[in-house]
Amino acid sequence: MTTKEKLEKIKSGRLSATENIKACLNLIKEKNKQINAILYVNPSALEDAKKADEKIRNGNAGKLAGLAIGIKANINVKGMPISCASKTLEDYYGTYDADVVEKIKKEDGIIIGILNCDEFACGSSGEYSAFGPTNNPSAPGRVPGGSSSGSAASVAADFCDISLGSDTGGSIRCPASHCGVVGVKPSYGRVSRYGLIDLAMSLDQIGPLSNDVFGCALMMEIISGHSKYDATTFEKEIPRYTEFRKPNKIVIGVSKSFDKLCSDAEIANVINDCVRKIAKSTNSSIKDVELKYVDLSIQTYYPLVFVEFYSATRKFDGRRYGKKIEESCGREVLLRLLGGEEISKSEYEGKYYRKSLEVRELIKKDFEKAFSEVDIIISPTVPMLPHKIGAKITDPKVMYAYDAFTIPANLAGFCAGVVPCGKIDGIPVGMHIMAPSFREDLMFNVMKVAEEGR
Amino acid sequence: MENTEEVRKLAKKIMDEFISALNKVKETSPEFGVRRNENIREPFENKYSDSDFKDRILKNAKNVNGDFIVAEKKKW
Repeated sequence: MTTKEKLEKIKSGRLSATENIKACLNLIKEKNKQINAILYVNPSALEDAKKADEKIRNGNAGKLAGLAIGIKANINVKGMPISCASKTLEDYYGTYDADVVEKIKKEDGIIIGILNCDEFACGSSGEYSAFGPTNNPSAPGRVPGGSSSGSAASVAADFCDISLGSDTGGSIRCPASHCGVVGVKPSYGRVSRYGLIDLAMSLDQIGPLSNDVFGCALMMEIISGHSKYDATTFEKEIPRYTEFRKPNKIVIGVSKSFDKLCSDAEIANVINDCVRKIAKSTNSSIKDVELKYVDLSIQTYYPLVFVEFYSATRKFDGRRYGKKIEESCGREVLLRLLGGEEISKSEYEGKYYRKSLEVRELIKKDFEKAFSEVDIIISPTVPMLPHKIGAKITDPKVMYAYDAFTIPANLAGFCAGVVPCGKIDGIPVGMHIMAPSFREDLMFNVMKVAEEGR
Repeated sequence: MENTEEVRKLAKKIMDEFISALNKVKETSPEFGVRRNENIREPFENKYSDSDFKDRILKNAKNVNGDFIVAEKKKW
């Protein structure tokens, strides 16, 4: 059942919120031990569902009434453990609702629980949680991708209808691709980050994951908008993303620069087939765009992340929030902290962070130029299929390569979404659709075409 | 398990590899910020500054000594 069909059933009384939440809770009870997508189940979920049912009966229910919503463990929900999947914050409970959570509650969405992720969102596989790796429900035994591993896996396993993740370099889109679900990284400044425990504040965005494009579009209508608590958000009109309009005669950008980043030719073939189908279905043309610096995205991104993450975590000194981070975190988090500390030293002034900012500007200009020639750009989401859980990947750079296609959207601030578009040996492959900043409407319209064509 | 110093060395090595790749880029963006050779900002008259900003800050401070705010940890 699609999210739209489920909502219609709930609104018409053919399915109650209580029945929906009970079904999710039963699935969690039955399968979460194997999947490990949920770290905490909301004990009040059924109570909240009953209240939603009453509102539905009275005709004053919100847009999300009756739907089960999962929240990544780095987004504050009042009264729930927001551990960032780390021992550092394992006893920390949210003292307030993040802006996005407040908006979900206002629309009567039911918070089903807090979702597993890579520790402090540092990871691309979902294996770096202090509370154990998440399994991929769509490709059992393989990683679900990260860092929003639980957000993608819980949607794929039907533990919830829509989830929220955070995306700093691909953390929503990479797991969406590996788990065969839809995921969206909004434009920077579209969604308030207030209440998100940040990884790198100049790159982070909160976004939705769902089993269909409608679910993500609906959630984006709700969580988008200006917030007085996040100065980077914009006062811009929020289009009705769920009123999809089929694009006609657009120009679809692809790039030869992507070819050398994709280590798996089969993935490239699946994506190219889908691009041709979209072009045919929308009477559109395909144009090759030049992206001179896209192959330097990983090298540009990580120095920025190391420094910003080091800065963001100075509050975790063991006095106010949990334990001292350097003494309680896992290896990947420690690597980023020590790297950030090292390259922030005044003796290196300008050598690392500043140089990365300079190249970031060039990458941004590359994409701005490309978007002046085409309407959207399509690429694979991840250059390889998800590896088996526990496979020995000791070189962090191998793991960093998972985000080669997704990082530019964060560096340049534009929006990007992932739609499942095929399978290789039974493993899902997602297509990555990028659109200019604040053109989520166009992005969703193309995602919808891709969804209908698969 | 590696010790902290080994992890630090690995992190620095990765950063050095990444930066050496970026250093091959000679092009710069004209819009990219101002480059200062020294990290010292000289005092200057800012005609756009809020004239009563200092008064409001001092008024809001818990302890003031002349022109200075006396800030004690966890007190303000």
